[in-house]
Amino acid sequence: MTPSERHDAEDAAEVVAPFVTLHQQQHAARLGMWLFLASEAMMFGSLIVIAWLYRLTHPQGVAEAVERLNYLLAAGNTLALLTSSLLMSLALVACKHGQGRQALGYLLGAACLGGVFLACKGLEYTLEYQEGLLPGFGLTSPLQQPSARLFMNLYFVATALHGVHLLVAIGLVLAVAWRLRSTQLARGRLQTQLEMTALYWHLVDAIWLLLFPTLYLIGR
Amino acid sequence: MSRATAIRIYLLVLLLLALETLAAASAWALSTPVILMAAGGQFLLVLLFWLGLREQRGWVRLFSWLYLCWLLVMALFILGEHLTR
Repeated sequence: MTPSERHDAEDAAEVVAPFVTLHQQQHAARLGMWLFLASEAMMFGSLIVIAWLYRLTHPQGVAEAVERLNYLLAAGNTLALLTSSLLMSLALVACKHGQGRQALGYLLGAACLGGVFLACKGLEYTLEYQEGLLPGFGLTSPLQQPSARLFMNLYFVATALHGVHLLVAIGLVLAVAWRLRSTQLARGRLQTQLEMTALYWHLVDAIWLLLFPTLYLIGR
Repeated sequence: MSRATAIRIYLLVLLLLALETLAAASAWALSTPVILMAAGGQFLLVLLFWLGLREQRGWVRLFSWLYLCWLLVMALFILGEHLTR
């Protein structure tokens, strides 16, 4: 059997009904993933637009809230997330070139940086809790204006929702890393899984890139 | 996407992060537009290169651009509604 015939046979073995070819199966996976990403983008897009609406209607209250947020810690978190996205891209490139061990290293690095992001976020929440800034914990808020407290509520909802998404992304990356470690690097299905996970990871990163200036930076 | 392109995009995005953080720390009159443009640039770079929007074909490309436009329309609608109230 020639190498080309062997590849064709491997591809055929990875195709699942109702798909006829591996290419068709991968295209369907990409389309489904993009539709899912679209729904995620719409949800976070609504939160970001609400934040901008608050900024337009209550500029002083928002400025009071933004002043108390730790933007340097958030900038460090942005750096961690961007680096993790680079590692995801490099993992995909390594996987396409059949370099399974390198891809595994990049994936574990990305998952670790995701963990660093969540740990820093936890530290940030702790500091905000101690200051009484977080909503719903019974402490007297130091924020004077009701609109500032409203913005803090939005900040908490948006960042917590983003944190949950990152947690899911870390779980997906670890699952793909486990499959990569425990099986031979398959050309088709595993690569598709890694590609879909990378898409999700990059979306979580892209959303943060909009949340960071919207919540922390503008109007300090 | 090649390894070199991924690293180049990373460096560009980091540069924009440094720019927006410096703008937020400073008292420039133009700090808000600088932050907005830097964030927009970062988002577009991630979208086009890491999310691979420029490489997609067929329905995937159509849907991805369609939802981006939908987001833009939603933002314009809400802000327009507020401004004309």
